[in-house]
Amino acid sequence: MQDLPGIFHAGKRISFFPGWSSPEAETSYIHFDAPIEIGGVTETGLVLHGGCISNRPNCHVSFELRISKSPGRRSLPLDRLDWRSLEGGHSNPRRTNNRLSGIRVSETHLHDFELNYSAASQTINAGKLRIAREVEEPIETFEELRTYVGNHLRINNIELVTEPDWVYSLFDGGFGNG
Amino acid sequence: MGDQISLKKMSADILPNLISARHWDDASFINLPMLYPSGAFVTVKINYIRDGIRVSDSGFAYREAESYGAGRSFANTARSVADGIGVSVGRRALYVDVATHEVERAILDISAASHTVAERIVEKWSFEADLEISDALRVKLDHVFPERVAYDNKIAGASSTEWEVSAIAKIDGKSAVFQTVSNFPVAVYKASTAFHDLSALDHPPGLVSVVRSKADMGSNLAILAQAGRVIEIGQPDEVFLRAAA
Repeated sequence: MQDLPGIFHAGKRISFFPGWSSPEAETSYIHFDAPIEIGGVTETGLVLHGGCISNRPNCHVSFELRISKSPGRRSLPLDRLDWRSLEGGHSNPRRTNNRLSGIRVSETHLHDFELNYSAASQTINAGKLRIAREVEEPIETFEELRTYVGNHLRINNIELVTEPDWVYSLFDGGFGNG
Repeated sequence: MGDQISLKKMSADILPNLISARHWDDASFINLPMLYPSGAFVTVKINYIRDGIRVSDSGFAYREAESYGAGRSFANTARSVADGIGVSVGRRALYVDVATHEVERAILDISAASHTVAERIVEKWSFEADLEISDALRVKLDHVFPERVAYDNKIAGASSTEWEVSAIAKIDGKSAVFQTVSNFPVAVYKASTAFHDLSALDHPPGLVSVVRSKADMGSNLAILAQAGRVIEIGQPDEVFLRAAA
């Protein structure tokens, strides 16, 4: 079984940033999957996934560290930060035996590895990042988001991730009004 | 009763958070009081099209699946769900085009469809994710019971139902069934049902559920333990020997 804590806590680098994808026709979703290396070795199936909606600037950005056991196998999410999510925040499950049980967190929240890893089973509990917490500092821009993610995931060259190719409408002031 | 907050006030405080919306000039995103497997709120998007309103999930169900690498499951699962509810499926999104007076119902239909699709795909993925335990079980049993184990075989219970089980070991003329069980209701109830049926045989085999972690199983452990023994995949060889005895 993989040493998930070892992977999460290790210093990492992005081996290659492929750039943001073209927008999906139906959803305008854009994304990237950047392979991650540890100690100079690009780890099998370990990627930083980034996603957002190209015509919804400055919101709904996610960065997720995920791993698959072998190419083509299903992925296991290890940690995810959702910034200004359009999905209205996150609801933590009840009965999780921690202070976040049943608590709702805001549109910017962190599905922290430490909250979701089970030492007993040596994997992410139930294979899902069910528990999230508020982020402890305000994140106002994409640059701040990128820096936060780099520090949190210990990715030393996070600056390789460019700002998304958002499409700015003449009629749109950016983040939608609630 | 003195310091209790009234139910009316409690409801009034909670209700605005159960449904919320974000607006752009060209679209609105509405969050509903249902949760995707990730814990995010089911969200629909409404926008004008030429002859009415398009209500869609904007690909959020697909994103749930894709985060587990299960995006390829979206098309088939979405089609089967969409047919039953009467909505359409695109490459990544569920949607329906309606007149203005039907928007409310369309929101309910799309949100239900999107939620169901995501749940089905992720639950199926989670079920399959325990292939790792199955691999580990094979290694363990080949070591503990060399050349005495058959894998992925079927065995008939007292009801004549044939149950596919992870492994059957032959020890001193007796059989012991080992079944990997992931911590999901479908897997737990399937194993429990099979074991109850097998235990009703005139000469029942030994019945052993193999889980990743008993602690993580919670109340599901008690369900499994009603029908057979329960061990963890990481336990020593002698535990497997004792469980099979």
